[in-house]
Amino acid sequence: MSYILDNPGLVFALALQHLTTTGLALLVAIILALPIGILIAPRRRLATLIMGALGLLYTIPSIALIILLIPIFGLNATSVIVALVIYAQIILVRNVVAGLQAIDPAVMDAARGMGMNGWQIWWRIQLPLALPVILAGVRIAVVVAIGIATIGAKFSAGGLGKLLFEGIAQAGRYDKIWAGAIAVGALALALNSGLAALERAFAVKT
Amino acid sequence: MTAIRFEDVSKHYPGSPRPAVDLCSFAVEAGNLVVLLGPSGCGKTTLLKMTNRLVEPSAGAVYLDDTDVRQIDVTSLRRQTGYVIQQVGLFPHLTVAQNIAVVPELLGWPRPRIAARVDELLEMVHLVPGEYRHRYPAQLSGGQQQRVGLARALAGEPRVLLMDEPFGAIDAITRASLQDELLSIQRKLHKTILFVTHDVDEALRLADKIVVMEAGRVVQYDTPFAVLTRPANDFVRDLVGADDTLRQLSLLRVEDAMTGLPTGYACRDEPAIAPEADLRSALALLLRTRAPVLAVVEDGRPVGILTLEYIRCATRGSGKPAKSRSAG
Repeated sequence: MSYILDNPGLVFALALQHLTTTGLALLVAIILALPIGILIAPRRRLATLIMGALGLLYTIPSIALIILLIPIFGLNATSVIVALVIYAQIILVRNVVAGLQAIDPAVMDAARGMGMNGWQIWWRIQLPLALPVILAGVRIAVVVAIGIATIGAKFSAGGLGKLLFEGIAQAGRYDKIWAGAIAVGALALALNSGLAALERAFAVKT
Repeated sequence: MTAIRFEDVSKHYPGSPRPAVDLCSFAVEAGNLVVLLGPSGCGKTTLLKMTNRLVEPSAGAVYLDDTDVRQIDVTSLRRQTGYVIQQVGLFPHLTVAQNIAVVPELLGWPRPRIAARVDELLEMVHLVPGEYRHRYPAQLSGGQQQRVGLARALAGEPRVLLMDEPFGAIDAITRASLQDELLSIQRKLHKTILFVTHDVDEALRLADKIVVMEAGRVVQYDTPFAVLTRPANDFVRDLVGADDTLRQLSLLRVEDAMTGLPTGYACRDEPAIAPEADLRSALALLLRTRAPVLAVVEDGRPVGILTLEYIRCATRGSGKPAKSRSAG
């Protein structure tokens, strides 16, 4: 804790780097997951296939996945971001699909029967109804990504993981390890509760 | 004037041995409430959904005011046809007022007109606007939800109203009051309504004309009175319970059986009954008062008379007694 108080600028800079990596990864992941989810949600067999494949990718340990990506993207933040995008896909796609499939078929029938076109149905009915579930996916994906991004420091992506790895490398620097662990935990908790509040704000009123 | 016309309409689903709808032809007059009646799987819902193109026919054509519905842009067609379904399908994230406003908004009505329309419709379906406007569907009972469903379907002033078993999931008491309200709304608005049900009592109660369907075919298209008294075949006879006289009496209306006031007839102190009352209560009144004749009274004015003989003829389906006897 004292390390954070003694070096607020450094910890803040590392946290910002950490956030940038995860934020960028999440942004790309959401942009990919939305169309994939919308495409496969009404097609049960395709959905099983795609989600099976994404689930398989999810089982690859993070260090192994990043190492596999280094020959393609180089030893830098890009490899880490790509790995995060891949991990986030299963969580995000599954929640987009679950959110869309949970909509009462009668609601869709009514929307079509009232003369909404595809875009109006998506924007006015499907998105608002699926949003709480999609946001829950984003929240979980963010927390997972923050954790995995810690390992990014090993692959010169920077972030709060740097404190952890330096603390391990330098004998007796438990303060750095603590500082890194506390900062990562605080970051994850803060984002989690922020996104949870957002989810509640978009929940369907009853 | 014909509002909806089905012409040799068929629907084949791939992999199904027989067509869901098989060469159906009939025409619905403007302002009529026509019920599609039949057991589940007889094709009545499929036929209904062809009117707003939620289902496209494999052969034949559906005409709305003499225009082939396939020539109307599908979203524009659906905005002109109110649609009410059994599961209601209110949008759970929108308030009652927002649900009702959907089609007017799609049609681009100005805001003040939409707001006025919402309140007008809420009053029509007997929901106090001030109390219900801002509620969410989950805060309403099933009956109230379907009232909103009906208001929502009427909001865009549709040319026709399609109702797919709208009261099927509602308890019997609420269903009866919703049926009454639909009838009273219909007396005011004179919409062309296609109404799907498998409930015979409901069909006889609401319909101007009934389309009886069996296995994708139209087996009879007639007034409730004729369906009940002159069933086209044994299937219709069994379906509507045409052999049960008491049931018939409770479903036939006084106005179907009565005769107009004979010339020079002066009402004295005959027991009075309303034209929309059922024949069962008319018979009970005759038996209880031991009067030979009932005066049919509408708005305080006698419009006809009813005797046991007329009731008997109505149940036999032979129409009115012979002229010579009715004059006597």
